[in-house]
Amino acid sequence: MSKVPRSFRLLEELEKGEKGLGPESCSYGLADSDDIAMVHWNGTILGPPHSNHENRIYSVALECDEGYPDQPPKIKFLSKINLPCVNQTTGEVESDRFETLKNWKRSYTMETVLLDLRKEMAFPANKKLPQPPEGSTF
Amino acid sequence: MASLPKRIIKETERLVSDPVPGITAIPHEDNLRYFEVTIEGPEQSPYENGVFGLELFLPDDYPMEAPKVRFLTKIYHPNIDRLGRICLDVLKTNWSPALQIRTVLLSVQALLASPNPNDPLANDVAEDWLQHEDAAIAKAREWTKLYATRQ
Amino acid sequence: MSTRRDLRNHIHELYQENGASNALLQMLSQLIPESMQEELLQDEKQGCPEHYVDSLPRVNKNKIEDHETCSICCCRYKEDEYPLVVELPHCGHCFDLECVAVWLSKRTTCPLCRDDVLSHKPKVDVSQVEMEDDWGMYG
Repeated sequence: MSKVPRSFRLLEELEKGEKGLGPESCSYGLADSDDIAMVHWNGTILGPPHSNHENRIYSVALECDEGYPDQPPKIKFLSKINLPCVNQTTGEVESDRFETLKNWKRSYTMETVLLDLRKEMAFPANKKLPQPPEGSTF
Repeated sequence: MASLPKRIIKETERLVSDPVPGITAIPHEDNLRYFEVTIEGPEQSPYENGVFGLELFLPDDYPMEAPKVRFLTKIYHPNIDRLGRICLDVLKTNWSPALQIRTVLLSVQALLASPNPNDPLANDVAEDWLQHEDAAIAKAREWTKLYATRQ
Repeated sequence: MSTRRDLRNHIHELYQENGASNALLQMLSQLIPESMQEELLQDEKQGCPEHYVDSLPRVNKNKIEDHETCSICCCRYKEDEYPLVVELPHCGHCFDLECVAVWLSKRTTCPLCRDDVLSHKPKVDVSQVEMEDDWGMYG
């Protein structure tokens, strides 16, 4: 397999996001549609059912710098959430506490990250964690 | 990395030995399927005297699948959007494996010479083009001067 | 092949039906490679039937000029000691069988003239049909 360069990889992801080809439980798009470097992205995660996150929509900011997709994106919750891998002061997802970022593979996408965070929310040890009021932000 | 198909090697060699006037395409050293491209704006077009940077990638299935091409230089054109994506039939449904990197880049250059606002990718630009053609062409010329001047 | 298509259509229907099956598909889709996920969501373009490609007339090696190249792989036919070259019947364009077979499995157009290779019926058949008609009229 040849190595798809960063920009064409991000364009593929953008197209999938724009066309809504991905799952409904998450969404993502460019933060600035003029940003030819495609660094800053917005995402949402729909809280998983049968958890304290049910019916909540979490906003996140993603940053795909020059190293992406060889390196993982940086991801930060904008909506307040109580989750072990999320820094409770900044909202940043800490890579050493989140398997997907820790053991990053080039084949992973922003969608992988969002869906895996959603799985994290539904994880038995996490799903009943008390959550801050809906709508509060970091 | 898997070895490069003979066709890609031949195309690359020919792009160097027999270059297309007004077009350059140089593969990246660390990824021979990924090319740094420049296209000169066609004479008598609003893009005249501009040099536009692009990037081109040959996917695994090339030549059964079209190359991926994008403008890196900002350009005001109804068929090129703000991220540099190009609406061109040979890059999509009209691709044929008998086309090559050089023919694709010539088609992109031809698109600069004849914008098609009736089949737009950048809707706001196309609307501008259809309603105030003179002003749109002036803006394209201005952007060329601003962003596509030879360094 | 057809069962696979049925399955795909079935999943596609489920996908559009409601949220519950949607969740199931999401889980399923994570188990398969991305390229196949796309396939679930898009109708793929069908190429020529396999027997069409198998029936393409071969070009005799003696009739191939030394300098002639296949426009798909850009290699001279005679670089291969035993070149397997075929001619598309309606337009006469030639290619390596190996090269054009891959293309025609995806699309039905000639790579050089874009003519739809399936839109032309072999001439022989047509003349026979006409003869039979004539016989009917006068017989």
